[in-house]
Amino acid sequence: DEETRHSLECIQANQIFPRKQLIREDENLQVPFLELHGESTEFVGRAEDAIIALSNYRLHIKFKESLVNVPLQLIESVECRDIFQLHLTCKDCKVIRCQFSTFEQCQEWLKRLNNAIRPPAKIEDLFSFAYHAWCMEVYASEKEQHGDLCRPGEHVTSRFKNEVERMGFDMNNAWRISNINEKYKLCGSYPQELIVPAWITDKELESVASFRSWKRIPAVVYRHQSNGAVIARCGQPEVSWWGWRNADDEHLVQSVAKACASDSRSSGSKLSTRNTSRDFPNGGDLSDVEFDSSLSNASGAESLAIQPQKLLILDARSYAAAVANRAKGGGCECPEYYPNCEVVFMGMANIHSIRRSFQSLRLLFLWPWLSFSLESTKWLHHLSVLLKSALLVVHAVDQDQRPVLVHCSDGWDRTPQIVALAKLLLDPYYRTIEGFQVLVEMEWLDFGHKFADRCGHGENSDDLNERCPVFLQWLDCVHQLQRQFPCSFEFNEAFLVKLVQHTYSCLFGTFLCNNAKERGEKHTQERTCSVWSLLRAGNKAFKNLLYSSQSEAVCILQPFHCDQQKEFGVGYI
Amino acid sequence: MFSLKPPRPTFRSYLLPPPQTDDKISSEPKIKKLEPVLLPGEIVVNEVNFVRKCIATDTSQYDLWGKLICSNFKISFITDDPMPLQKFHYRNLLLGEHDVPLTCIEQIVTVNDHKRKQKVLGPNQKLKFNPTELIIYCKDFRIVRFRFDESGPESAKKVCLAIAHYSQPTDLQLLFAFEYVGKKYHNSAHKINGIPSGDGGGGGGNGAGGGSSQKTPLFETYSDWDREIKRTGASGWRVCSINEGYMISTCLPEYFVVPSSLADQDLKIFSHSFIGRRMPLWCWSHSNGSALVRMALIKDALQQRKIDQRICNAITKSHPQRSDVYKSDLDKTLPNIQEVQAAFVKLKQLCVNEPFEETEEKWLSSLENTRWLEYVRAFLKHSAELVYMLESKHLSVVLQEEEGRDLSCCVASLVQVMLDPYFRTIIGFQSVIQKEWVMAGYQFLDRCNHLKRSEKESPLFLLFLDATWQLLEQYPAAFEFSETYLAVLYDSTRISLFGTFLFNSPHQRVKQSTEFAISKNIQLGDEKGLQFPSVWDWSLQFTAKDRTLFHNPFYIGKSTPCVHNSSVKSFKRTKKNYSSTLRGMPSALKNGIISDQELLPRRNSLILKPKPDPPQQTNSQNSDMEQYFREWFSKPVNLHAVILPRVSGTHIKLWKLCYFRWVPEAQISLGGSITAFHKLSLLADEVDVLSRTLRQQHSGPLEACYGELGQSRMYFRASGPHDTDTSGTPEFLSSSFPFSPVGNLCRRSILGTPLSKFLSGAKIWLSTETLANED
Repeated sequence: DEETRHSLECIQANQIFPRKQLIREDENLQVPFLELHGESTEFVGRAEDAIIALSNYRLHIKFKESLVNVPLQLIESVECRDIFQLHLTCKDCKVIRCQFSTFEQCQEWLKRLNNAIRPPAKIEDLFSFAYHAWCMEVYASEKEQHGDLCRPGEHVTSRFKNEVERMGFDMNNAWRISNINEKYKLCGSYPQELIVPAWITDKELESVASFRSWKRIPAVVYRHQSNGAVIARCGQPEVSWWGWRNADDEHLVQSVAKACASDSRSSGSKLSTRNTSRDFPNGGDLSDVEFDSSLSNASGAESLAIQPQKLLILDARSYAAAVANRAKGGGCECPEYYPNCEVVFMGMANIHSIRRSFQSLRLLFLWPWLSFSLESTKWLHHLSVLLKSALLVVHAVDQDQRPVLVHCSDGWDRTPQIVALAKLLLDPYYRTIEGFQVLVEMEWLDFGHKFADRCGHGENSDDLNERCPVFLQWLDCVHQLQRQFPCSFEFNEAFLVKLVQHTYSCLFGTFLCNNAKERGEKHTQERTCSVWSLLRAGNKAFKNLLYSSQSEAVCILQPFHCDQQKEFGVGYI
Repeated sequence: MFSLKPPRPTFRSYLLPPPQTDDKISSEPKIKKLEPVLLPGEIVVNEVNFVRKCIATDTSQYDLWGKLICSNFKISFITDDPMPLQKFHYRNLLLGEHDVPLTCIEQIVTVNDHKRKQKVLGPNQKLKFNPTELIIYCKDFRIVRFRFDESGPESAKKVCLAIAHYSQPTDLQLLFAFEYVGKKYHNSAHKINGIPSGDGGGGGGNGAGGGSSQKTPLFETYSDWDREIKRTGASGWRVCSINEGYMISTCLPEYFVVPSSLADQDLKIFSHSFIGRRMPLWCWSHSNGSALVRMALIKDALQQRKIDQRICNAITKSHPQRSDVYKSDLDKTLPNIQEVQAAFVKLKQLCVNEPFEETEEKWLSSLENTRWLEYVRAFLKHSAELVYMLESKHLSVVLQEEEGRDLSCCVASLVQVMLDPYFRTIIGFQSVIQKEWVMAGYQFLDRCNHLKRSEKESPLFLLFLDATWQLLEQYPAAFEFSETYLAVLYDSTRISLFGTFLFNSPHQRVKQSTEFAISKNIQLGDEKGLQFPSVWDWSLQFTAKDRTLFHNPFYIGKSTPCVHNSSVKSFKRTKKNYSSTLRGMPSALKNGIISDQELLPRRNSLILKPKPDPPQQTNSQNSDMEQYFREWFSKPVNLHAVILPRVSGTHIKLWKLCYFRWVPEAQISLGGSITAFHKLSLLADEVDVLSRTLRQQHSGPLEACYGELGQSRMYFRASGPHDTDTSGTPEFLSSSFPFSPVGNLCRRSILGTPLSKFLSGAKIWLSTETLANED
């Protein structure tokens, strides 16, 4: 049965994604590159001292001594300059120029390129679907191999289960997995399974959702293996000008800290956990009961630890920006309503500032490198603030054993940046190739970073105001860490560079759509290949030869200094 | 339960008395016999007990108790307390952990909290108050702070004055090296010649340990120069001894190399026309016969043309192909020594004198504003251009400079380091420093400002080490030594025990030490002056084990086949080019991706800068040079031949180990390039062990024994197969390794959690400037 379905797909591949007719400007011209499966070249022509070719996947320019090979979706804009020259600006910071002999040629190619790079009208127009379908056809006879080729490993597909286990959540006393978001019925940009304090009911969660931006409720995403402190993330509270508050939300935030306290104790002495293990199918307030049972068999010092640590609410925005958000119905936690919490504002810039910074950075590459103008782009400064925020989380969790709740406005741009970076610093697992894949899948993809809008490859995602290299900025931060800790990452710089390219290239389906719900609806997982099939642990090209796996749980970094980040250009040029 | 946590750090001004919060220290501090470790000839001038050495600026909980002494060599803090928070200490055999050599002191500041007074102490100055605090600013960017709250006010004052006095001597002969070497001579009076430790006198000894028995040629003798001529295969050049006994010039070595066609008699006549009588000196010859020559300007305007012509003809005659001479006027092309000094002062302010975090946002422009990197780049770039002349154009190059003993030293040695792989070994590098700096009359005494009164201070030697570091950074497998070696070498310029970097010229050493010997009744025999210990005798400073840190695990010795070179080289270099959408570098500017290689910045360009002076340089020559560089960079590098620096903005970097090693905030614990160094050392050691084992298999028992004796050349040793896994990064590694910034007090805190840092916003800062103004 499965085989027939398979072959059915294969036949369709050819029809749904038919090859296009090749137009040669000159009879003698050959396609100057090897086409991928499903790729078909549409135009081959001549530029000055170069052969230029355009397929449904890439633009290829072959110069005498060099070549340019760029996926179409990586191109942000094409302009004609000085009559004969095409000027291509790329989303990964590259700038490409191509000189033509005549004005007509130049205009013709400008038209073709502008046609080719616009966002797709429907998602199937993206090359990853054609690529996958044709791959299926080619490898129909060797299905097994295909599986390897297109799918991520088991560590990615069963990431949630593995991670809950690996991080050692106490699922008896402290935490539970809520299925409230099954089929994304609560929140479209969240994963289906969420970790919340054990005694918080789904009903309460629903109430909390009504109070949080886009219903993005506080959900726990990391647990410190030895002290039990957690990192949680959410959207901003909808305080608005009216100053609303929500008792369930306040209770949930308190409960995160309480759950940590009981969890860390239980991991400290396994025995007592077993004694007091209870089942909380739908939650239930047990905070009072907990104290009694623990006092009986814990020493005085331990009982002190039961006092929940002060929870740190890390608001990525500046205080002014957070308050300004009240005009739009958002806002920030009012400290009086959230006792035993501390709210800190990080002053990170919004996507519009980051976009502008990136654009001026890209301009830099057109002119001689001057450190002064690099500084004026503020790109490195933004990286530095991001690193600082992540470090703040790391110190709170690791040294002060405090739980942390991170949010910005929507909780899908700055929040994943901070949380994912903090996790990377805290946990050596995420510095392996497998772990890094899990990290990206969970913090970025599962929690709804809007890749389609930010990268501009969603259906009709023409809104330039929505675009921003948020993920790229984060990868740059990872690159800075690589420079500072040459032996701590299993993957190398090439891995990151490739990841940047394929964030935009649309050769793989991993970064399509804005959230997991959409990806489910579009069946991207079944119809495209995963980027991790390329960036897999077995691929030697992406291994850092200096990597030494270490047992140290934490590495504390010195991220203050812009100078440490000065070597920025290297990966991008 | 009571809390074991330390009291919350309270931010406070330096200028207020410290609150006596710490209960632990109120109890009577331990009094033990604390005795300083003294070198021969070293005497304690003054001392004070119950001194507190401050370790952190915002808390006194780590402070150490002990005795502060001032000797004629160093200030020393002697304590029984272990250094807190320090994970590693690179031990110098001459200096204790808390010692600062007097020649390393930059500025001495005394403070009285109660009277809110402070004073920068110069020599022979009076101090009207009893100091409660002493802050020493060191030339190597360290800041050490002592408090005298519990010590006798008078003796504290005396020690401060003693330090001020002895660190700013009025006479060269008061530098410790004289006392030290005098003692050595006295103690070995029964010996006929020199000081007892054999290699101490000759100084060349021991390389960096680890098996090399070769000695560094000092170029004090005829034969050293003769050997260098033979080594480079120079024909048409001869060693000339007209300056024996410094009869011609007091700033030239006794022996030097000149064109064979110039007779001694001619040279004697010509010499009068040169500033300082510094006639042309041969530095080095390329295998194609082109020579590198340095000389001072001709002051005699009338004779100038004639003499110039004669010299050039002679150099041309010494060239096997009779090639022309290319003259480079360094005064016109490179920054002068005052500009270099100004840049260095700004760099120091940036690295030390400003709160580190606060400079962050403007870091790049502040760094650029110091112009330090720009100057490093200028020297590298100019040297690379001269390499082109020697290597590709087959021209002999003459370096011209007013006195010919500053910029020439730097350029001549850089050119040789780029061209000749021998100078990239430890012995070779030391020999080029002897040849082009020590013997050629670089004025170390004035430029390093050992006597603290020179207006002529300039860190040209550091600039040379920095430029070498840039090359090492770009070609890690081309150098036998590590960056630790370069940093330690820089530190050695400020230890006044060695003769190497103490004098303005070889003549000054002979003259001064002879005077000293006479005054001290030392019989010199037939020696020319006292033989001071040489810096190159590294065993005086470091144990054999510690010296292995000088070895670069990347280095590929000559015996290894060439295949390895390219693969190792590509390890670093290809990294920069692997963007998949771009293969190979487009050569035309108008097409293709813009790579920074094509875009050499305005003033950094190898190619574009119009050169005003050398008339023979035409545009076509410029484009030839451009072509040469482009071709050279497009090919794989042979590490046993020429190496050329990339000089564009992104490639010239700040030498962080050297400038940041005492800055706690800049320290990356368990990170930095040292972790890669560590990992590679293990690999290199493993390879060594394996090849030794292989040799044992192949050879008889005799050789097997020898193989066993062979020590590892790596500091980090690979563990044997039966050991447990030790491949993880050792805990003590940090980006400052092997140096430890703990206790460097330009900093607010060594521990402060980011929370307090970010949220409190409190700042205390103590700057030299404000202090200096407030006296």
